Amino acid sequence: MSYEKLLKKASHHGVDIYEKPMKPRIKGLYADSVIWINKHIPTAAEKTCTLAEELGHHYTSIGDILDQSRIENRKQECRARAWAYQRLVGPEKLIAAFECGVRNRYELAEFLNVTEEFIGGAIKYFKQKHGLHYKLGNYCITFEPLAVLKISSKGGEF
Amino acid sequence: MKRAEVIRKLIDETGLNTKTFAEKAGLPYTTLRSMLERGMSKSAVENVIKVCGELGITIEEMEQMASGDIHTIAAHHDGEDWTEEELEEIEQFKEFVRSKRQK
Repeated sequence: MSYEKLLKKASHHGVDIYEKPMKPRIKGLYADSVIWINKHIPTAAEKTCTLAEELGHHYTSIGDILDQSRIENRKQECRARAWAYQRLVGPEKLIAAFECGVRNRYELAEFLNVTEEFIGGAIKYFKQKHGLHYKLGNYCITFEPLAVLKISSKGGEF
Repeated sequence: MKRAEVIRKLIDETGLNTKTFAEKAGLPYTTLRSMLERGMSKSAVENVIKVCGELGITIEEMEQMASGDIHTIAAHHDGEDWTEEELEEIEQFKEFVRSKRQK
């Protein structure tokens, strides 16, 4: 999903997004339906990832979770990230990418318009959630190594 | 903003007058009027619940609107600790969100 598409979706749900010049370590901020994205983020891919995570906060977080040394706040951070992973690199997207001939993590990042770190995080998350592989329709996604296998409709063999 | 003001504003936004709203919420008009005049803290709790229920908000949401404070805040950030400058940036952000809400 492109940056513009996410922006559109967000404004549809009443979230206001602004790009502001901020300190380099802060990527994005979220509070009560307002999002600030750091203007200095160099690539569209990284911006998309940041925006998706902040939107994740909009849909899943509650309370002040700035202090990430507290475990309950970390849990909410994880949930927001999980939301972003599902949106940007969900199983359907992985299948679509492999159908288009994407074969490695670099190509996948390019295809889905996200950063490689983000893909890394997503794979880790899916591994925690589904185990080493995940079946969806006629496909089987393995997370280690990352690959999509097509299950033939006749025999059920790979 | 006081709680009663918040409630009054929300009732206004429904487009109903106070009397019709009171009927819909299932409490006498005079009761609602005195709630709005004397303040929510002096009203019976079941009446406050009725009013909030009809407005489609929770009691917490009423409190939050009345206090005008920020409810949910999160940051995407490298590292765990915050520098002075970064905290200042967050303060600016909070100020921005508050000023936006008052409009």
